[in-house]
Amino acid sequence: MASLGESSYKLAKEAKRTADLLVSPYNDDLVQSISREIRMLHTKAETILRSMRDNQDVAMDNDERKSQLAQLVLHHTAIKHNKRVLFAYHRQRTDKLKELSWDVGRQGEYQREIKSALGPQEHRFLEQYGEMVATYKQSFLEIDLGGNGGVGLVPPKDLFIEVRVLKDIGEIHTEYGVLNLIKGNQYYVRRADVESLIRAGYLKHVS
Amino acid sequence: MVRITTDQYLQAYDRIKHESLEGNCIIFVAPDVDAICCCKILQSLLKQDIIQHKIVPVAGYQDLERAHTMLVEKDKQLRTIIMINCGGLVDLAEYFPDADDVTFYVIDSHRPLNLDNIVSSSNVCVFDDDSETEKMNDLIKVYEELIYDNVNDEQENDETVEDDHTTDSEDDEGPPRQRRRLNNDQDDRYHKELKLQEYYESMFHANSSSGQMYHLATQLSRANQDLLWLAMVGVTSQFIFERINTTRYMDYVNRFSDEVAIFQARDPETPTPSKKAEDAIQCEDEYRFMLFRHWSLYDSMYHSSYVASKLGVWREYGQKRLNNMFAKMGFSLQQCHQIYTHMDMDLKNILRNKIETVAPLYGLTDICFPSFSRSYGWKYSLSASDVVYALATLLETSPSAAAVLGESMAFHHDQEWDSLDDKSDDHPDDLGSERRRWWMRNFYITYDSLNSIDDIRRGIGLCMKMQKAIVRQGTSIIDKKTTRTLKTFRMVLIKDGPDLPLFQHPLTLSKLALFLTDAYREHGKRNLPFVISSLDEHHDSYLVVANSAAATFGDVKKNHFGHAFQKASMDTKARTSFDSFETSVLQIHKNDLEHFLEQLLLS
Repeated sequence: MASLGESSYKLAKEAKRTADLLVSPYNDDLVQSISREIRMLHTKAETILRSMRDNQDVAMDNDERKSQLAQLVLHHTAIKHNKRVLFAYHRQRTDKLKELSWDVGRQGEYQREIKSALGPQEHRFLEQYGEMVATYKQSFLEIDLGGNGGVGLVPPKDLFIEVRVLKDIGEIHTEYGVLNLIKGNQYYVRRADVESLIRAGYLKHVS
Repeated sequence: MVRITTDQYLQAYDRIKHESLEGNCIIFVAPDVDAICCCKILQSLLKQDIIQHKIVPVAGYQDLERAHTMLVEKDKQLRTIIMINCGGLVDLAEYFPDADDVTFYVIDSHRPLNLDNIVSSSNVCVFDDDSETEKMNDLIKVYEELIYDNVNDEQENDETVEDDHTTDSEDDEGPPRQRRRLNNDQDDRYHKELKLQEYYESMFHANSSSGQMYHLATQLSRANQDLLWLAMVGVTSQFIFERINTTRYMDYVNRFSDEVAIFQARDPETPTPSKKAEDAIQCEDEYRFMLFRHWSLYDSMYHSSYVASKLGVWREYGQKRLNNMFAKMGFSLQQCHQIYTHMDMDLKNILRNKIETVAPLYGLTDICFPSFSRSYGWKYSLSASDVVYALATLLETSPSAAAVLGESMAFHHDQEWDSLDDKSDDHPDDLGSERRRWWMRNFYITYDSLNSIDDIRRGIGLCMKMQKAIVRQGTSIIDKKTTRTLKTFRMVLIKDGPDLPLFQHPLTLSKLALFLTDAYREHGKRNLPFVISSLDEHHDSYLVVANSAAATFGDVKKNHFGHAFQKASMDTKARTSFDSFETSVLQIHKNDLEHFLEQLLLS
């Protein structure tokens, strides 16, 4: 036991460092070593407790008693500290995964990278959470709750937008008339008419 | 029929607004700096009124035809077509037949305007300015009379035939009288036709389209600093490419400086003069060196065609003169080779005075001209001419040329840019050109860069490299004496060389032509127009650009080559393509070039 709390310090540092990244690889080693540390501290605390219980009848020095109590307190707080770090680390990761499920959905560009960076329990979490989100969204198909690269819940600022045509689409019928979309043209049209085409990649929004 | 002048712009705009309620609006834009600025101003006006519109960039008459088949014919709801810097020279009814319920608005700086647009067709509205009103009215009258004369003549001929039959007794008197009348009419008609021929003979540029559009914006009371800046850029581009002369330019400058003063007075939150507001426009005198704020002083003077040609810097003697000039001004050469922003402050302060005193000794009069500059916060300050050079370079640099210069045109790393390549290489006689593939992409890069200051700076960087290449090429041409001085013009063929891919665009070639024209004007014996051709190896064709010679800097002479090219091409039956909106640009098959040039000489 080199020093108490060294691994948890490392894990906390890593969590802070990777706070901005998408998902970093699951640091299984550190987690395991911290868990081992917790177990070791726990067994130590148990032995001290047993020895205290056994020696209850025998009169003991005050000092000895104090030192045993101090050891107990130390071990207990160390265990709590480690637990707290582990919780924080896992919580940060699952929050990121939740965000991903809402915003990006099942089809993201980095699906494979993300999946390879998760631990086994996180995999399961992502799948099940993703299913929950999908079932929830099913009931509100008309409202775009974000995800799939759509606009989401941010209201648009303008009625008309400028778009540029990247691939020949041909004619589309809108409420207010027909638009003939030919490659290379730039249009100033209603947002509602062209949003789906922007999402599909045929048009490009020009700001 | 309408040829409207500045006081009627507002009505035209109201009409556009009204028709947009039920109909669509298409804007055809030519790919040059003035047109893009004008288009942006127009778009901001239309957006404020929430008028749906569509922008279609067109590079030549082929594009217009294609647009007609794909867009105009099919769209039954089309009501308005606005053409910016294109279509003024031709009869629009030819390119857009059956477009009866569509109104055309032509804002074109090319002259001479096709009189058919003004007189015969009823739904074309041409924007013009007041300075030419009298002359144009005369010409319109002449043209109308000619048309009516033709109509009357047909009727008269029928009548005379009948008269001959019925009045046999008056035979003696009849024919002489008719013949006399016919003679007078013929003389009249001959004079009128001569006048019209004169009118159509030469090509030149008139008021800038962005200037006109800015006028419209002021009439609508929607002018603001951004629009003013765009208009300034457009007008400066015309001046820099020697399309308008100094007096006209000064008119614009005076008007714009009034506007700047109005904007400054209007804005009460402008802090004390020591602190510049963001995006403020100032009136500042500009030197005739290119991009000197972004380059070292030495480089900028060396590579600008004004200084380079006057001093003759392609020779050792010229370089010595340049160094002497710096010495006289009291600038150490080391300072001059530093980038301008790193030069000593005191040198920069005295630069203006020194140049004005020293430069005339070397023949560099008029080294300053009034212009405008805009500051973007504390980071950059750009002058209108800087922006013009940047935009022009962005328009004319092909991806391969950029590779030669060591930079890439893929500014935003969007994969979507590739999709804007125009793969349609179909052209009879295989006279398509490489240009077709990337011009639209460049058009949009330029269009977008008006919003982004960083793109303009990249354009400036590209322009510096391009200018070095142009000067290199020009120097090598002068040194190797590859120009042939013929009776009526000078001629150069560019067949090889490391920089050949750079000279595949008419704009670059015209810059080179301007450089050479200036050089020969100062150091050659006569002042002759220039005809430059550059080889497009991929398509086995030559791109030919003709420049007319102006007597001095800041002066403009009308360009007769459009006509001459057409005639020579018809006479030699060469395989040519006159696709561009500039009449002095053409593409010709490699094998026909020699004959064509000989024929050109004879005309």
